[in-house]
Amino acid sequence: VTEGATERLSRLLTMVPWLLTHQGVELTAAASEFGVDEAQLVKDLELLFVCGTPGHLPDDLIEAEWESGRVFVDNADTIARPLRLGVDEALALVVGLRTLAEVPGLGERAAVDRALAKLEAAAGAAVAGADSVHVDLEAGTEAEVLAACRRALRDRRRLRIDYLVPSRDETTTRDVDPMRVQTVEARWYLEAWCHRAEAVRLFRLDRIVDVEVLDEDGTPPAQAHSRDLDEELFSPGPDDLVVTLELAASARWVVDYYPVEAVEELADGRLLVRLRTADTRWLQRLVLRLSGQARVVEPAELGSEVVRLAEEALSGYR
Amino acid sequence: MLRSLVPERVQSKAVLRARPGGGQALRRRALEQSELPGAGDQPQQEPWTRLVVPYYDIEVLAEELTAYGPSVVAEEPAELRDAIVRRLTAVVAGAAS
Repeated sequence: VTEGATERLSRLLTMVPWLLTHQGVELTAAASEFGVDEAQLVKDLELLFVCGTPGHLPDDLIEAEWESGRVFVDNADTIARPLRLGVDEALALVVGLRTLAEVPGLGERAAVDRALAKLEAAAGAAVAGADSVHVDLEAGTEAEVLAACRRALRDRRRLRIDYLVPSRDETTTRDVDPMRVQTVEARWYLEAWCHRAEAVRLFRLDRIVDVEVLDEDGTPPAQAHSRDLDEELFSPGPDDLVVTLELAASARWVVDYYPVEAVEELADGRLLVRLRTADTRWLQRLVLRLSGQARVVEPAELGSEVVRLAEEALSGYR
Repeated sequence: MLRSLVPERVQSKAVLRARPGGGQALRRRALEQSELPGAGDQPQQEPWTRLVVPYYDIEVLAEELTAYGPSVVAEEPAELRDAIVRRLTAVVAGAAS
């Protein structure tokens, strides 16, 4: 297993101040302090040797010496300095951590609480402004929804939710067994086993119109596996309808926004794209929304359906 | 996420009418909602709903409303109606090309 760059960077950053205050420490002792073997420690030191502030002068680089079996580090004042935060930075961190502390099922809650306590103590009155910053999470029905999700997760209860799907313009009532609450790209999602779909589903918290914690056991069935949220939230299935769209240059963003199977460049920056969808209503709405910047090439019936909808809508304005 | 960091914008109000069960997301953020008895194309059926929704940019709202197709009709302001008619006409014209 290769070590992640982030992990290594955080070790390097803690290593420098420690080595500076433990000049002449034995290689083996330093290695065990950082939980790595001696070979890895030497690799780290070799990397540190070419680190420093920009400028590329020899004086700007950290000096590390370990040939004797003992480690000496010098010229590392910049990294050795304790982390200093500006008031704005501290404020942003406090608000961010408080939001994070609200997340139900958070694994590192203790770490968040500790960091928050330290920050608040160190920054004192300077971050009193954090109290007057409102995080949207606390606003409106979302706070109520979040509280219900948290309670259901804690007590392993089933939830009954009214869920709005704007792309289909419908609200459905579903019984779900909560698995976790996650934030992805600044949005909050409840991941749960949906008894209506009989599958794991992600529900955007801001689209849960109503929520009720039921008096029933909400342990998800054994086949409920968490999805890797780094993957696309929207993955097409093999039984979906294959649709070909012609997009104007101004609608090229569609390709970045929705998973498409094939893209062909046409004249004038136009694109011919092929995508799969299980939901023709979603596609009709997309083409209407693109307001002439997209045309359904195939299937023809879908194209005529969109035109029929547009004509029917126009009749409402006559 | 931080409401206080969002710059203040000028808010206007649009009046819409939505079919029974239509315009769900609009209903959620409507400032006012009332039933329109006898309105709509089939008066004997469930009434349409009159909605007053806030908006900041007329084209952004027009784009959103166009996606609803015949389920939602804009009443006011006139510029909003014009923008939607222009968009719907472009859908019909674009399909013919």
